Amino acid sequence: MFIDVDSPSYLLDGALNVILSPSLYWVKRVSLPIKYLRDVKSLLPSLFEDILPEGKYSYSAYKEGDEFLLFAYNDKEILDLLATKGITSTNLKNVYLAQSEFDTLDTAVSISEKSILTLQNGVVVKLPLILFPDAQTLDLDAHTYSNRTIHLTRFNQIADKKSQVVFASILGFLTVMFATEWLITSSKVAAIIEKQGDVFSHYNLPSTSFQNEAIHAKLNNTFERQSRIRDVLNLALTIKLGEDERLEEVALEKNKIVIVIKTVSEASGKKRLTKIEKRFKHTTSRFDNGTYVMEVRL
Amino acid sequence: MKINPLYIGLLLVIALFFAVYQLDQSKQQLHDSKIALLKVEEMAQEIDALKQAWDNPKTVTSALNRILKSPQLKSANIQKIKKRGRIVLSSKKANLKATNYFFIKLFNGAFILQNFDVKRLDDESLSFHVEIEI
Repeated sequence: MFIDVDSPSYLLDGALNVILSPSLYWVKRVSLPIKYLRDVKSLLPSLFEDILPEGKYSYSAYKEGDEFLLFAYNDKEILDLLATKGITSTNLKNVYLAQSEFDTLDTAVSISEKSILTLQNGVVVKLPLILFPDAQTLDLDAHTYSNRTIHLTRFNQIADKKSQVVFASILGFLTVMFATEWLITSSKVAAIIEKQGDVFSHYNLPSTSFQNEAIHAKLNNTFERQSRIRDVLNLALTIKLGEDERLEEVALEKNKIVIVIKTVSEASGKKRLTKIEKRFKHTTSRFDNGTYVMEVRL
Repeated sequence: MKINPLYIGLLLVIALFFAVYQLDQSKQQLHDSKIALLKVEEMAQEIDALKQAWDNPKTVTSALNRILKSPQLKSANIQKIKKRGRIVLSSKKANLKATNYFFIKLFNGAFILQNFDVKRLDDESLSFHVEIEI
């Protein structure tokens, strides 16, 4: 599809190739003392600066023989024009410049009721139809597209190429910096995990935390049980008894300590062992035939 | 085909967020593993100390032998029988002084007491039976 400012509006479904009229871009055919295209590309803004109106432009170039064809175009203006013609970014398959597609024209071709395209000094130009009234109508059905496409983007309007590169570089640098720190931190984590294994082997312990937790729990349980036994006995062996009272038996059975005192009454026995009863809540006691028996559950 | 710079920018921003997120995660992991290491060191030291005290059959046996050789216990005539994983000490008749001495030593040492029974026989003597885990 050929697009000019005079083109009609379309109702489109799907993507298509678009050729831009010469009225939508600036072109220069120049000979430069430069061999490579990549060297020319960096000079493009300065080569156009004297002819372009104020605005943000994108540039492209290609080499034809010994000469370079240089182009400047305003992405936003073109995209806005395309939008008025019913063509959105999603409808754009490839975008071409008329110069690259019609640089082999033999005769003038009409592109509307008022204008034609023709070659002048190797440059495709748009002229009034009145100059070539016999011009044939442009037919793109059999047209073979070149591989010289351009890319239209509104991003160029927000920031120029240099700013984009600087922004991308900062983002890239930050990404690399954080990624490096991430890798360093991960290796520190791996080193610490390895060190945990070393701690166990230093103390001749099994290699897993699970096994060691079980050993720790078992030993701790032993320690607590034995401490409790000693606490009960300490209280039992220091009770103050009356003249007609005496400690008859102290025994450690499976999960309890039994204290037997010979005493005159249940109240007296209870009084003697009240300290143990207060300190250890799981106690039971009985009085039978002058003997007071207290059982302390461990 | 030329790639839209917006896509490249978006990709870089996503990559940056990904790196920051991963860094944050691994910093948290580092913090957690440092705490875990401290806990592991603490637990290992505790196990070591508990093992030295409560899981050392050689020390238990030699300490018991030392106690039993004491002249204060000669009169008690303490019988020592070694069972599977246990040492059983018993006396049919011991005076109060010897019994006191024996039990003070036993309770102040790191002996794992399984069972015991101390019975008064009369005003001056007792019988006892103690099972110690080794």
